[in-house]
Amino acid sequence: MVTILEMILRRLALSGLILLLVSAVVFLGTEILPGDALDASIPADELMYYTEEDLARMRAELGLDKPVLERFVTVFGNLVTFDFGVTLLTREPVIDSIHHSMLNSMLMASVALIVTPMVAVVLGVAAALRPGGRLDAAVSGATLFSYSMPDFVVGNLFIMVFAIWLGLAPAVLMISESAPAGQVLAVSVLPVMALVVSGVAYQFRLLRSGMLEALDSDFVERARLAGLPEWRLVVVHALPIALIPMLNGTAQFVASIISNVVVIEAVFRFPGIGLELIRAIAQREVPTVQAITFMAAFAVILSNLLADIAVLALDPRVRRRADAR
Amino acid sequence: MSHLRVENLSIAYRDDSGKEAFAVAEANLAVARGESLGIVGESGSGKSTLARSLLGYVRPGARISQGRIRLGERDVLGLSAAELRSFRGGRAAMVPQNPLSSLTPHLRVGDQLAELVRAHTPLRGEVARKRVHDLMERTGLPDPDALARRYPHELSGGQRQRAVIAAALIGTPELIVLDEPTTALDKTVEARVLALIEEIRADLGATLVYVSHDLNVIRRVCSRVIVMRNGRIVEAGRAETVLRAPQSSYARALVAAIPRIDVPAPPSAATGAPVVLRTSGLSFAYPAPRRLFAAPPKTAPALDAIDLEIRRGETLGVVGESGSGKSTLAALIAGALAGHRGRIQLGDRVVNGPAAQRTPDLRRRIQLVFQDPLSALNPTQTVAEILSRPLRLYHGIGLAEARDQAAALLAEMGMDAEMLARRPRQLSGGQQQRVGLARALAARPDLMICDEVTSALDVTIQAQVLDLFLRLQSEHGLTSIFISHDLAVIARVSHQIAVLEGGRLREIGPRDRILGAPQHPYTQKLILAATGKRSAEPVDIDAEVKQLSLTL
Amino acid sequence: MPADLSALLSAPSGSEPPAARPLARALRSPLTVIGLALVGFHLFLAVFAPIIAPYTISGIHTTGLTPPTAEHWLGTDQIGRDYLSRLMSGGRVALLVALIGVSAAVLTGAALGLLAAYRGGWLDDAIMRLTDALMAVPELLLIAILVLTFGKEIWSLAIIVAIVYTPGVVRVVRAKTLTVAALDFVRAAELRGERPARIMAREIAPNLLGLISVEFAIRCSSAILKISALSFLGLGISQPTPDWGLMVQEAMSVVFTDPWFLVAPAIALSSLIIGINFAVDGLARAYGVTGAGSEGLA
Repeated sequence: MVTILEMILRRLALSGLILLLVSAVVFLGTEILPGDALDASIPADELMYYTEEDLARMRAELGLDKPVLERFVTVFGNLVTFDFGVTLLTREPVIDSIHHSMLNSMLMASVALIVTPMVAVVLGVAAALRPGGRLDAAVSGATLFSYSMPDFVVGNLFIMVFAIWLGLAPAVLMISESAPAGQVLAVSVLPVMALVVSGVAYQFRLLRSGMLEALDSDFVERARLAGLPEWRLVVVHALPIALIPMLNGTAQFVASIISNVVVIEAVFRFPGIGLELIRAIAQREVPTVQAITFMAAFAVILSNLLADIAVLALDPRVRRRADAR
Repeated sequence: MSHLRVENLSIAYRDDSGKEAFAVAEANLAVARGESLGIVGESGSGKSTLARSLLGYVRPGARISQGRIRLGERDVLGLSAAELRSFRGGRAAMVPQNPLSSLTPHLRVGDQLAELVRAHTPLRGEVARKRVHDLMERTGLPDPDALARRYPHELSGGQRQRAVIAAALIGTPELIVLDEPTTALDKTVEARVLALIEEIRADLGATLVYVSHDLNVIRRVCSRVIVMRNGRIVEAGRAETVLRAPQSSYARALVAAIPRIDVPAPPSAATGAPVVLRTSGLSFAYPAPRRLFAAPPKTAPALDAIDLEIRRGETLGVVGESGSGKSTLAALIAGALAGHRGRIQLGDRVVNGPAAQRTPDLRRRIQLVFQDPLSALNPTQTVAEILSRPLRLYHGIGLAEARDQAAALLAEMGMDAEMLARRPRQLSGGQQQRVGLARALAARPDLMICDEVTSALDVTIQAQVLDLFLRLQSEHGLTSIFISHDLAVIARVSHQIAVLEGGRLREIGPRDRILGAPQHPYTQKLILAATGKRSAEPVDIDAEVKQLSLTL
Repeated sequence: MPADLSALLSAPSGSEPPAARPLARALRSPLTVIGLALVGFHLFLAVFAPIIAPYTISGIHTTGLTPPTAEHWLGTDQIGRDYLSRLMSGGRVALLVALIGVSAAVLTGAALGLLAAYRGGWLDDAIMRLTDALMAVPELLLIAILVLTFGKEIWSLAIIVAIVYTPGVVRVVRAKTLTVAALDFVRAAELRGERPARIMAREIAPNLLGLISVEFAIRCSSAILKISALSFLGLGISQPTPDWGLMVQEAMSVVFTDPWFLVAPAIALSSLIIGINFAVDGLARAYGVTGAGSEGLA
């Protein structure tokens, strides 16, 4: 039987490898353009102002004249130590230019990340207790609906309903990037709601089917026939097992939230990393794009690792089966 | 004055097409206090549904359409939800079928028992823990404190069953319902668990209802028996009577289908036939998982120095409990595993490695039939495709001729040619297994290996398949290895018997000698567990029945 | 066993009843029917829009934004083009890109997943690590990066969709293949000495068809969403081609005064996705396919 420590170490090593591969993908995606990053960042009509020597000098400054592999090693080494270099256009450190927006987005995403699984669990348990009943049909139908609507539609819907029609929340509140956390949270209410509404569907479904399976299992039947009260059957016996498939869904939610945040921020004009990213892509700011993507991947890998560890904690059987792959 | 009465009980449910069907129809039974009643039936007979209803429980989707259940003074079906909760696990308890899946996997064993103590007794804290400890001791669990801290999957099958029995005893029940409690256990473990159950019944004076498909077990534990088929009780009475001289035709067929050890031997092959299979020093160990920091743990070998010899037309029965290595033996000879030590010889050719490394001819000459018929057939292929493939592969014949031969094979198995167009899901378990046999025969092998081919089937279907096997044996002069954990099945089909335990060959020899005069203590233990006697001497059945009818 | 008694027991009691054909069963659920109707409608629209639309998508008829009138039922956009005609053609590009890209993804992904699961060893490890890496990058980001590299033309978008969606399919097919490959009929084929290629193609693959169909449908709906989101952000389909995502973005600036410019494409897009999801949900349930659904609905 493999110890838990060995399992975690093995996963960590794997995660490191994956991070390396991700950087390779990002690097290839951004730097195999014909010409290079420098060419891309200078608009065509300005090009004539630079002489050949200027260009060569700028290239050397940015390290763009070195061979591909060496560049990749440098870039990866930097990324891993969270040294994201400087932006092409303004030469300011990438970190400075993005850290406010990153924090804002993280704040908003964290709230959504905490609220969504909770909502999914409550709805999932309620629906599973009376499968096919009115609550179940209503929630299942509603979530299928909300899952199918693109988040920018949901976002706009919320703006139309809450801000315009009901006049409740501020629709377009332009706050600056470096606004204090309180203001950021206040303005996040609608975006977070939009994120939760789109994201809860998948986890709800997973929990519901996990609960149905657990409630139908032999061990819950035995416990019921032994006279245990219903609440104990649901919470102590069934729920921990039902959570396992949902946790994988939650880990995927982390990945998708990062995508969704970009869109939601565009809808609500929220000063976050999403807008930064779009601006960076439009301006072909390669170092910024690399930095943001790397950190996003890092977050995803971390959440997958945490989900795996949580599964270990919930189901003791997995610990033994771990190495029987 | 009966303790448990069931009057005119019917339980209905909705089947796939939406129509209402009956899992149990108009059941009546009465059991006196302290008596034990056996409920016998095959799958789909309704026995488990009836058993669960005794605790006032039906599966979601089913309902009790009519009838009454009384335990002592109580009307079970009229209890309120709260009364039902204290009734279940309190006055009446259930011991479920599969202890591995019936114990909650993420809770420690001790905690699961403790929560029942809290639910059914006023005991708390230290006193409650002591009660758990005592009950575990009572059911024969060694080192209760250590075991209580473990999770269900960390216990052995027998230990889990005892834990589940302990759980049932917490509320000191008057009625204990047991649903196939020993089906998943090895015969030797089963004997001990049955003894325990008998002790408990005597101690508590409780009424026992014992559900099983295994008539031998019922015979040992129960004084009264009811036989169910398709939801109806077709026969009821004293156990000895029903089992020795059943009245209804179904019960007669059921009893006749039970493999008995004291059954005549199959007709033997001609003497002096050439040796088809020989193994010498055959050994195998599964590779251990690699560890990061420690050396790989030493694992016991799955097979240790097995020497066998099978002559043409002979069937070698290999019997052993779980973990004995019998399936590993089948896999090695058939070529499903690589990396054995020792020698396997087919005729005069040495068989070296797994199937991938053997010549096509060698592959054809050894055929394997699998235990689980549904897993052994590709659900997306028709029977015609399943049978044609080996025919065309091994004999190089064309499509049309292969189809004809496939039809002929099916006919030999007693199946209609129209089955060729069906897919495995459209066949019954017995038919699926017959297709598996046909597929093996299609190759015209020198050696056929049957790995627990009847273990997944109902008793009556098993009898049919064994009949078929015996017919093939005599008509084709089949050389085969027949593997089973059931000594009675082995006794029916084998000329030679090999007994395996823990990867070692404990005893091997002619069938009559092994059964009549077993030498090795393990063989004797197996026979004892199967028959209750030290050796299974052939018995004159007709004489026994005549004797019994004289005394009635 | 005596002949008369064996006759008693020879009825094949375990045979499956001829099940109500799965399609008929699926059609009993109203949601599924609605879904299929919506999908059918949108497919029809995608093919025939240019023919049945009242005007062309680029013809200019007025000087600017105008509300709905008798000649232009949904009004005209900022440039003066008929909104209804543009709306009707708004899904064509996204649908086309999604269909081509996801087909490529499903074919590649299924092949890789099958190979990885059945052959195992270093090939499996390599494919899985690559898959993990691709899946670690949030989809939209990956698409955005690839847009940087490949551009925004239709063919580029299709290739990008194929690259982004392949890993998910690999995962799901691999998981199912592992289950199927553990069954005895695969063992039986190996014992017959069948070549691995034949086993994968003839024994295992037919058992994957249900899963692959469900995955295809689910990922199509997801791809259409992503492409629309890309256009919304300005990174995907761009003017003058009409696209619902793009139209939503353009309508945001006038949502206070002319909300239908936003509502119309929103409904169009949502109804297509809802249709696909309802239909897939119902059909999958009726045919008894359980997705390992790493991204879609199980």
